[in-house]
Amino acid sequence: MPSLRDYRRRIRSVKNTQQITRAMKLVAASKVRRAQERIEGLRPYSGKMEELVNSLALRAEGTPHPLLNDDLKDDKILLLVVTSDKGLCGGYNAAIGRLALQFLRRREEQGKRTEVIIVGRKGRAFLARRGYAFKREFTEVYGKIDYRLAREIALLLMKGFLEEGFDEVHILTTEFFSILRQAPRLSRLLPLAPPVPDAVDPHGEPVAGGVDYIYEPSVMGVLSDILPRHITVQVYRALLDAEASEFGARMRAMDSATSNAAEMIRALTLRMNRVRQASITKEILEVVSGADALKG
Amino acid sequence: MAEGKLLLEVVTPYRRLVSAEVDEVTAPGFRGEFGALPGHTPYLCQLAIGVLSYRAGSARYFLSIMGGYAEVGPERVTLLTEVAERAEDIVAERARSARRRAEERMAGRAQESVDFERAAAALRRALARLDVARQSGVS
Repeated sequence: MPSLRDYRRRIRSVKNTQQITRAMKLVAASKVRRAQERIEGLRPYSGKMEELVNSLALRAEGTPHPLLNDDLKDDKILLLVVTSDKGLCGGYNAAIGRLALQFLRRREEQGKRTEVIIVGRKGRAFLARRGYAFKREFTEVYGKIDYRLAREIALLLMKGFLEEGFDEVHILTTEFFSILRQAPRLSRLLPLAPPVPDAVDPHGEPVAGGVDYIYEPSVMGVLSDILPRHITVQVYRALLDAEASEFGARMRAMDSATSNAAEMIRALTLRMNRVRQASITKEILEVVSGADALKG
Repeated sequence: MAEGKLLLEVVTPYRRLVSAEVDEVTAPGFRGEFGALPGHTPYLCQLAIGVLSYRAGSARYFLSIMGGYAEVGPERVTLLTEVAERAEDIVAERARSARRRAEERMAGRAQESVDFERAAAALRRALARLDVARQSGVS
């Protein structure tokens, strides 16, 4: 049976761990807030951009822009997978990894060729263990995610689509809904989905975008300038979402670790007290029986 | 909203930098500078690198912007741009040395080369920043 001292040592060790998990939880909580603010900060820009792209694409005539071209063979696919550099965030990376694997295997069974661009060390390790190589790796980028990085990645994806014969480009990231809810999301980035006229007036005229602008230099001119930026915004959004989700997942993981530690301390303290009581009882018995023997 | 005013919004990927009621906006358009007053006809314009200025009452404000789009309507002007800076965000000294570097690089290049284009863009950015710093009187 463990001695009193063993229990004390054990409890101290669990307390130390608890201190660390609690600190990590607090750090993650403050970081998730900041990451959330960055997502909020992007929203006006991305919303307006989407509005413009939609109204432009609806007005564009003639051959569609190359980035909208979905008339392709569909047998070479590029996948961007966004994971984290660090662990200790529950099932965050495992969920993404599982989905990535599923996606890639299914495409390979259909005889399609796939290539992967990976963000984050965890995802890289996960897929590398399963025999995947990467077209490009981005690690140690967290903490310095900015629009410029998004542009670098977006250019890579667009180049793949326009020049290297990839027929589709997909993004796999974790969407951030709230601190308590994040979920992996797989979405097709390229070719861009054609815009849907969201409303039609009684004469059958599309009224999306509402206003008929004078365009400078021209509808196609603005469209071909805006589409790459639109892609960049999507990539930026995917990175920000992943960052916020990682912190959210870590916060929850560390929160449950902290309460598990508290539960463990409680159980150990109980057992320790029992041992202590037993030893006191034993000592009393010894004293009493010793005294009895002398009297005897 | 007050009658006869424009609601100006300048939006970057990081934040909404400006949201104000103004009387007049001047922006660097794709084919040259344009001005917008309240009641402007709907207009969507790609922007160049340059100086955005706007007036609210008697106060004038200047921002350097690095391309983007302006959506102009009778009551509002919305600018989407990847980079926009107020005068107080601009370090004139840095812009000056950027201008020097760009000029040096341009001097040794053929007009058509990629390097030349890049240096020319850098020069335009530096000039826009310096312009804003000068006009706002903080340089």
